[in-house]
Amino acid sequence: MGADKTKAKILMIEDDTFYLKIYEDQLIRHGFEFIAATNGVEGMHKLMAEKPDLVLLDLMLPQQNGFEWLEEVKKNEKTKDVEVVVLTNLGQQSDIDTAMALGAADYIVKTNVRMSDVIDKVNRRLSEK
Amino acid sequence: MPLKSLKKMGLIESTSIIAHQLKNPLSVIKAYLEVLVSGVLGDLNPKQKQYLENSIKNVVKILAIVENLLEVSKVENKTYKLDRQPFDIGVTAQNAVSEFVIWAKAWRCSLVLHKPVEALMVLSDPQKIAKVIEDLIANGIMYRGAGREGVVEITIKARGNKALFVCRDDGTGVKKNDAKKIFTKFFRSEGAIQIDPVGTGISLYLDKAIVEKSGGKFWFKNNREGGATFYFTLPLAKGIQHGS
Repeated sequence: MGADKTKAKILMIEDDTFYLKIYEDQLIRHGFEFIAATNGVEGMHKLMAEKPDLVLLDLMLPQQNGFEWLEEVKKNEKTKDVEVVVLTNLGQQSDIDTAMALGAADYIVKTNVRMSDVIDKVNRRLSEK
Repeated sequence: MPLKSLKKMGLIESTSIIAHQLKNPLSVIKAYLEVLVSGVLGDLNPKQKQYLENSIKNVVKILAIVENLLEVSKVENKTYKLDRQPFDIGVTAQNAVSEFVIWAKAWRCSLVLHKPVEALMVLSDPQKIAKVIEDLIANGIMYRGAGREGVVEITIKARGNKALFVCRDDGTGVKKNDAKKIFTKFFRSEGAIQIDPVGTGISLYLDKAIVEKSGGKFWFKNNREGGATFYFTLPLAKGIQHGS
């Protein structure tokens, strides 16, 4: 899809609807197509159906947690190539190591960065593709 | 289990749960404020911008307090984890000193580092030890009479099977009454509150816990000629020989 980010699709899996809302507004404002899911099952369904270019994944999710979700995605031939950026409040080194070992493309701790930095990272990731 | 320790455990656990639960709404508030302050939703007058920026600073401050509470609860319930690996403490100290040079200048304070020419490999968590060193340097720079010139001197050397880190300042020193409490969590001396009103009184408590969990010791002495010297030791990484 190259540098044409206007068509890039972002799937955000996040159970906090306030957090989803502001990311939806800002990512759309930056020219992305935005797809939301509030749990892993819905996230998996939308990943298959919508084929997003990048996934923003929270780790503390109801039912299936983000680690399990990531593991399942990376094990599946059909979904393993999607870029998954973890966006979470878990900041322990062991959590970072686990997520990266499972195949996350990047790991961002929500409280440590500004929202504009997250959007910049998404932009950079997609333009490098 | 005695009632006392049950009660204690309950408090620690509930602190940890509350701290975790506060993180999410706080990061939501922070994100919303950041979008508002960026001006993308409409121009702000300078006063509006300033108020929003001050709100963000305070949300960040609460987040730091929450983070500290989580760290304390981990230390207290013994789940505090170190990512142990061999590293050169001389390099860690050098990096910390480089980071503080400009800040120290603003406080009219010079930083001096004495370290062995060869690597001094210790076994601990490099990131956490970097934080310990940064805390000690920051305290040395900050806690002195306002505007008075000073020196913070850092020395690293091998001593037996340990590495010894020494941070000596010529600041206000530690008052007798405060000496016993200085490593207690949330303790802040009156002098410290005057110099830095927003500190959380947690860093020395955590620093001591990090060093002790690594198998080292952490202590301090007041200098005869004023100021204080903080010391800590860390085990040397095995299989690597150092002269003492």
